[in-house]
Amino acid sequence: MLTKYIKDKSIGFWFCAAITLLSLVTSIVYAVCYAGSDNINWGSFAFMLAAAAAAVVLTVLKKHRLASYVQAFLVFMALLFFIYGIYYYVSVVMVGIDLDSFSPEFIVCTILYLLAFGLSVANVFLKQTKDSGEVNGNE
Amino acid sequence: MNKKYGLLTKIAVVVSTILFGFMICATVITVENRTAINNYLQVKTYEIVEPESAENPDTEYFKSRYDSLADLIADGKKAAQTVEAEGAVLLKNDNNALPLKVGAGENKISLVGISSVDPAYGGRGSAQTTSPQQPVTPKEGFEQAGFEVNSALNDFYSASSSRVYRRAGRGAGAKINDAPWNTVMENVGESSLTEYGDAAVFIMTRVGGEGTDSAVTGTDGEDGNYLKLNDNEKSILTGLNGLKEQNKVKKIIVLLNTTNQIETGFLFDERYGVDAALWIGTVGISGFNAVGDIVAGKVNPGGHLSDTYWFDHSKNPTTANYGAFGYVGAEAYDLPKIGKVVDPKFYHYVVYQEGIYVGYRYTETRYFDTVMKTNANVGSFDYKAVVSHPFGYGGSYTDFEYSDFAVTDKDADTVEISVKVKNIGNEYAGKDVVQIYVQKPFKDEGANTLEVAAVELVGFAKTRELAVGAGAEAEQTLTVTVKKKDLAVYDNRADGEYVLRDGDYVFTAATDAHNAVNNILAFKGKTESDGADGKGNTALVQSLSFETIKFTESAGKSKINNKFDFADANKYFGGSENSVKYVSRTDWQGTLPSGAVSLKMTDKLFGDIMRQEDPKNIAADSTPYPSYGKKTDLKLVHLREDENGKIPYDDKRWDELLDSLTWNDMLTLLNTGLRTTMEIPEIIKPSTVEHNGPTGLTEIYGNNPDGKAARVNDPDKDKTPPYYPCIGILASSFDTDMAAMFGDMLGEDAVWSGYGGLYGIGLNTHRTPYGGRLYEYFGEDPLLSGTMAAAEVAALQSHGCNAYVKHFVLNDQETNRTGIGVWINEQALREIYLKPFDLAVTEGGAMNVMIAFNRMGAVHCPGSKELLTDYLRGELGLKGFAVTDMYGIGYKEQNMPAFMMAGCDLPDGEIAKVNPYKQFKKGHGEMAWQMREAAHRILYATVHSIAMNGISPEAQLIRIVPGWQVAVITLDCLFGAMFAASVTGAVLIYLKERKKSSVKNQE
Repeated sequence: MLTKYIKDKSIGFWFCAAITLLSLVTSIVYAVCYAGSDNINWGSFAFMLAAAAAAVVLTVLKKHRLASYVQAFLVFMALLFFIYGIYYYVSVVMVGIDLDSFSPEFIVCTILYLLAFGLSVANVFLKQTKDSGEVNGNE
Repeated sequence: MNKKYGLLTKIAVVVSTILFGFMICATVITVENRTAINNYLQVKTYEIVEPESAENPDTEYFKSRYDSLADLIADGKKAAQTVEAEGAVLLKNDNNALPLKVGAGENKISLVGISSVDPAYGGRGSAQTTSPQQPVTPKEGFEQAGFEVNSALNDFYSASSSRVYRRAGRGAGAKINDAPWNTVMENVGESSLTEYGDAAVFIMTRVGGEGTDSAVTGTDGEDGNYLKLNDNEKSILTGLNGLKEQNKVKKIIVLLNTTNQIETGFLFDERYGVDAALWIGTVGISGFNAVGDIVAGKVNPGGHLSDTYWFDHSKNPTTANYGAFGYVGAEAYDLPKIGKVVDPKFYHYVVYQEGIYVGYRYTETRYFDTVMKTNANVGSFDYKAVVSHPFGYGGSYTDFEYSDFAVTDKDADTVEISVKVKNIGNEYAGKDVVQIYVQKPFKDEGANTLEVAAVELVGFAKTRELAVGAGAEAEQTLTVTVKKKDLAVYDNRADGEYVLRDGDYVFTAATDAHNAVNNILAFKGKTESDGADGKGNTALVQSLSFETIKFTESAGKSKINNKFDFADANKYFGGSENSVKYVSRTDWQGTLPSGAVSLKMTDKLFGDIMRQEDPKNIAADSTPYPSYGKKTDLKLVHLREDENGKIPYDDKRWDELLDSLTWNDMLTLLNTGLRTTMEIPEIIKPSTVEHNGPTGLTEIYGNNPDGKAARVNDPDKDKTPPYYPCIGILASSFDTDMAAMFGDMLGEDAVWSGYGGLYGIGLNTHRTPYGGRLYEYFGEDPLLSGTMAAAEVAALQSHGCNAYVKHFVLNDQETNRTGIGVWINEQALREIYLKPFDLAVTEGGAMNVMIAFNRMGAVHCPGSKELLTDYLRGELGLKGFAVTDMYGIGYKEQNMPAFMMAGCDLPDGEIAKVNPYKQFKKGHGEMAWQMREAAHRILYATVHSIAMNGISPEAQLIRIVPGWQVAVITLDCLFGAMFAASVTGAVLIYLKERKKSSVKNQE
């Protein structure tokens, strides 16, 4: 039965699931790394969590295509807020007076955000179900 | 739906969304940082327009004496070379190894060490010149002096394969590197060094910089210490000495291209055979010409150390309390965290346990007490094993003799001291520095003792170049005026006062601090048999007796009293939970630190630290607000000067001008200070441009479109100004004329660059040899620092470039500089650390101040009313404004209102996006008046700056939208339109397809 369930799912579904998981991980890592610092942007944290939650809800409602769009949009918003929260830190490192290299936290978070963004954009172009039916919006 | 058509639509939506999203993000960020971007892109945001009907007055209030940048740059390079020539210090010269006799065939030399191709021309950080002009290299400097330099060796060091030997990293990650001796031999060969064996000149480099101190551990120096030799350097010295012993290299000369004092015992180590050594500091753009000239004997070195040089820095009492220390038990308090870690800005501290005994004040006092056997607990102190070169030390190629020493109690305020200096050598002309030291009366009063060093520098003067021979050209009588206030000590035991205590004051003219002590010991009848290590000259000692004089009124006309009890751990904690045993000469062994002072976090300390973080802690009040927006015909330029000269700060017309400003004008002026002050069109207040730094202006001449270089479109406007040797070298010249020349050249550069201010002069103290920014500061002695700075400030400001003397105060280490709590007693604070600022403001007329990142005790320096209002304005009478250090690094926007109430006028940053003053628009009259006074100070500083050049009373200020802002708005519109079009298209297609599908289903 599990095999059948897995076989029924499109690649888009798995992308969506992976991005959902990645969004959760990213938001947690981001909060752990930056909570309390000047570089945290809670909007970014919220958008990343919302991306995961929206994907789950819409998938349950079998709105697979819509899930991919909403997820990509929210992850993108999270990325923009992440950039807004971190740009001053980046400028300090670039100036090189007080900091001369990027912290591991920054590198890890940046990689996670970019990965989530890249995957979610790619997912928009992937097939979300094995059946065609994009027009009626039930994907 | 056509699949291809659908895919294209999807791509269009995705791409336009991404572009529009990033553009909105970029727009927000650029709007927040528009001032910095405008500065960086050198764009104007307004234009000054003179009405056609106006007369054409001369509005170039500050003129340059140069017609072109080429001439100015050429003179700047000469000035940098002169500073190096006057400041380089001859540390050792066995058997007159120097100068090398270039004309007599002693001219083939090898420049050894990777620093021969990669020396330090300057330090790191904000004072570092961006895109610097090409400096004179060591090889070029020596060749112009007449030497033939070993090219094979130079080629080896220059090769790309040798880049691995260059110094790298900083702080605990610093690597001194250099090529080990066997590698040098393998690649260059012994014969090459032999051929160029008249002398081996080994250049050793240590460089400091902003944000990081020199590390005690973790580097590749001995024991991990950056200020000791590493194995490769030792191998080079050993190898060179091997060649010297075989007579293949005749002399070993060491050049210390260092910003910080390295431990110099190796200069006297027989294994290394060093014949001569010079401290050359960082040399600036053309300093190696001077170094070549000194080694060749074309210039006789006349510099004298502005620091004590140690055999072993662990013997320096400041070393125990330098670095990172956290309050014990801080983790139990709810301090702000970054992630799970407590923010370092809130729990680090350092205790200045040594009190006044910094540098020579410690070494010479302990030595004096040891010889005098002043008390039973002086301990064993072997001066010769601790100090390699005393403060003030400097060798010469000739000898000088002092005579006719006279001390006169001239008047109520001054003592006059004269001494005749004669060049008694027979080969080299030269200049000499006469240093006047005083021994003040010291009374052992037990636990209530007021500390006094055995000798203190109270004056100095430098001769002209004294010729060889018996004529008048060979001698000069110098007269030094000593202020009686400089003979006072700060007595912090009761209410606090500067007091010249009754008793005998012993004056001496000396060549260095140790020589001064030996003179005084001789005067007191002590000889080598008593333990003195040198013969003093009693003819150079005279004593004056004074009755008690109290100095109660300050330059700023306010009462002098204790203001900084909150920074003294013993007074702040009341001795209950934390206490500090300050070093006292009544009990050397019992008070010298054996380790760092341990302080606990307490409820009181935690409360005081956190109270500053919340603007809601500023209480509402019923004080009426000042007037805003009242009509006036006055413009800022009207308050520049009138028929009586400069219009004073307290002139009534200022009130009329300030009444005309609106609340929003105040916000414009006070929310943005990132290397600028903002324009106010209604009163024709131009924006100003300020930049770093103490060793030369850091940006290109054409950076400011209002600067002369940009206005006249000088062909060299894209060059950066010359950069100068480190400030320790300037201090070592012991020459106020040199400091004035330096300030004058910086001022000329400022005229061409359009700088209304310079973030300098650096006035922190060389408390420890490890400080990261020592290259920006003068030295360990406050009188030397302050006197030199005063001369430099006055010359700089005569060009309309206001000094921002920095970092006010106690920013003597970089480690945890943002927020570190410095604990210090008020006597040491005033006598050592505040005095340079005192002299720069009261004697040099420094207009502005940059406030330090650190705290005094629990209080942020910019948040200390005692420091900024009571002392800086009250006692010193500062007229201009006080700006924070780089705002975003050390503080949050929310801190600024509390800083404003304390007397800090401006953030060195952009806080308009938060606008922390918005909650004070009503019900906070006291804040409103503080803001008005801050605006007053900024306007006063501006009207006396070069920013007023080109502005007549009839001028108009017309705003311009910079091109980059137009581009941003255009792209916003373009990408917004793309986004809207693609989304609309996608929706329409979706609806159409849905309709089609619905029809199909019905069919």
